Amino acid sequence: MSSILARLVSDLDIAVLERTPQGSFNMVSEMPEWLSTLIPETTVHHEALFLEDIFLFLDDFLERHASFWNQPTLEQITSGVWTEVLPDGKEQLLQATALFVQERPLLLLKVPFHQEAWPIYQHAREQRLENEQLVEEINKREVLLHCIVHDLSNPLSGIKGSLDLLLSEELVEPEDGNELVQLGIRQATKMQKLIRSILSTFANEVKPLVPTLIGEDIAPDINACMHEVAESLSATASLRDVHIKVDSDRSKDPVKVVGETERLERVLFNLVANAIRHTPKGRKITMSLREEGKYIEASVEDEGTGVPEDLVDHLFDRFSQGNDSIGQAGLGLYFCRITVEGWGGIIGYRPSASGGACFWFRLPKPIKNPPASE
Amino acid sequence: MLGSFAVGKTSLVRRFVSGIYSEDYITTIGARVEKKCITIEDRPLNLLVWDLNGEDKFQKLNMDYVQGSEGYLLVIDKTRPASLEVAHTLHQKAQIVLGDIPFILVINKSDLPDAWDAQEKEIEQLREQGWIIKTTSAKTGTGVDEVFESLARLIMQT
Ligand SMILES: Nc1nc2c(ncn2[C@@H]2O[C@H](COP(=O)(O)OP(=O)(O)OP(=O)(O)O)[C@@H](O)[C@H]2O)c(=O)[nH]1
Ligand SMILES: [Mg+2]
Repeated sequence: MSSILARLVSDLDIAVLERTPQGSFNMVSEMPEWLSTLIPETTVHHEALFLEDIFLFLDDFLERHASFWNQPTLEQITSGVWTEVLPDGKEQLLQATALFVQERPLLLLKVPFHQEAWPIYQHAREQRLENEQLVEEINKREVLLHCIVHDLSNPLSGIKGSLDLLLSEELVEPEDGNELVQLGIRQATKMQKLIRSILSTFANEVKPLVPTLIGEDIAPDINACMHEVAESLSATASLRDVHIKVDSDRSKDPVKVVGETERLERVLFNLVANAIRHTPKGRKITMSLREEGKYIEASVEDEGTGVPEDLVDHLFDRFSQGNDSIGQAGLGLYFCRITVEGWGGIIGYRPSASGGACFWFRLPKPIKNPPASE
Repeated sequence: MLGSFAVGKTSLVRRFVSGIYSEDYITTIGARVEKKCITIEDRPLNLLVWDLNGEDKFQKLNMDYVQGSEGYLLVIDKTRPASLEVAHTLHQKAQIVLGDIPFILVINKSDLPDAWDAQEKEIEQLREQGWIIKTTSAKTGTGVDEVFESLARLIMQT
C-alpha cells in the first residue's frame, strides 16, 4: 500500500485483510490497536489468521457468504454491527465488508459510527425507561385516588342520611338549630356532587382516548404510518418472496386520523404481518386508503385464499385463531379491534375481489381546530 | 435472544455463560455472540447464543441475525407491560422468517415485586394457546440455566 493510503487507512481505524485460497486472512494494512488485543500472541507476522476462530460473529458471516469469494465481482457485502468484548472489558463495535479490489479478495474490518453514537442510544433508552416508569406511577396514583374518593362517598352518605332523618322526624326544634341541619344537608349534597363529578372524570380518563379531543396538529399521519410499516416489514416479506405495495405516494399530503402514531403503526403492522403469513410466494399485499365521509378507511388486502366463512364472525375475538397452524393471529387482531374501537373507529373483514382477504378499519378524521386549553 | 430494550437479554446470557451479573445497564447495539458447551442427556452440545438489540425507533431488528437460528427466547420484563407487546411484534417477525421453530417466553426479573397491572391474564391465555412460559431472574440466577437447557432440549427434539 502506498504510504499515504496506509496512513489514511490507519487513521480511519480500518483493518484491511486479504483472503488466501485456504480461507485464512493476511493483514494488508497496519494492525489497528483494538484488533491486536484480540489476536493470540502466538500468531506472529499477522499472517494466516483464521478470523472465524477469533470472532464467533465472523464464523457465521463468512460461512453464510462463502460463495462470494468464488469469483471477483463488483458487488460488496457488508455485515450488520456486532459487539466484541476486548480483554480490558471495553466493548468494541465492529462491522465487516467483503469486496474485491483489482480482483484481490479483501475483507475490511472497521469501527462503525454506532460506536460514537453509543451514548445517544444509551441515553435515549434510559429516558424511555424512565418515561415508562413514570406513566406506570401515574396510573397507580390515579387508581389510588379513585379508591380514596370512592371511600369518602360512603361515610358521606351516612352523614347526609342522619341529617335528613333529624329533619324529617322533627327531632330538632327550629330554634334548636333546624337551619344548621339544613346547612349541613346542603353541604353534604354539594360534596356528593363533587365526588360524583370526580369519579366520572376519572372514568373518562381511563377510557383509551377521547376522540373529539384529538386535534389535527397532534393526530398521526396514517399515510406515513403505512409507508413506515411497509418498510419495516419489507425485508421479512421478501424472504418469503411477497411484495408489499402501498397504494399512495409517500410524499402525498398527510392523511390525519384520530389515534396515536405508535399504536396505529402496531395495528397496521399486525394486519400486514398476518397478511404475509397467508400470502403464497410471488404474490403481493396491497395497502390503501380512501375517504368515507367523516372517516378515513385503511385496508390491507392479500392474494391468499381468504378467511373461511365459518371463522369470519369471530375473527376479532380474543381467542379467535385461524385453523391453520401458520401462526397465532388471535391476540393480534383482538388488539387491533380494541385499539381502533377505543379511538371511535370500526374494524372489519371482507373477501377481496381476487379471493384473498381484505382487512379494513375506519378512523374518524381529527377535528380542525383543537379546543383552546385554559 | 429477542425482546424489548432493557428486559435483561444481555444479563441472562452473561449469567448463563459466565455466571456474573451487573446492575449497570449498558444497551446492546447490533449482535453479541457467545458460546457455551452444555450437556443434555449425556450429549455435549455447543450452544451459540445470539444476543440482539431490542427493537425501538433507532434500531430495527436485523433479520440476518435471526435467520439460521434453531430456537429463540422471547424475553419480557415482568414489571413492564409494554415489553409483552414488543415481544408479540418480534415473535411475529421471527415466525415469518423462521416458521414454527421452538421458542420460550421468558418472564425475567422475577426477583422484583409484581407490577400493579400484572399481565397475568394475557400470559395465562398464551399458556392456554400452548406457549411455553418460564420465569427467570438474571439477578439471583433463578431459572436461568433451566431456560437455556429447556430450549436446547426442544431444539434437539425437533
Ligand atoms: N432486578 C433485576 N434486574 C435485572 C434483571 N435482569 C436484568 N436486570 C437489569 O435490567 C437492566 C437491563 O439489563 P440488560 O441485560 O442490559 O437488558 P437488555 O435486554 O440486554 O437490553 P438492550 O441490550 O438494551 O436491549 C440492567 O440494569 C440489569 O441490571 C433481573 O433479573 N432482575
Ligand atoms: Mg443487551
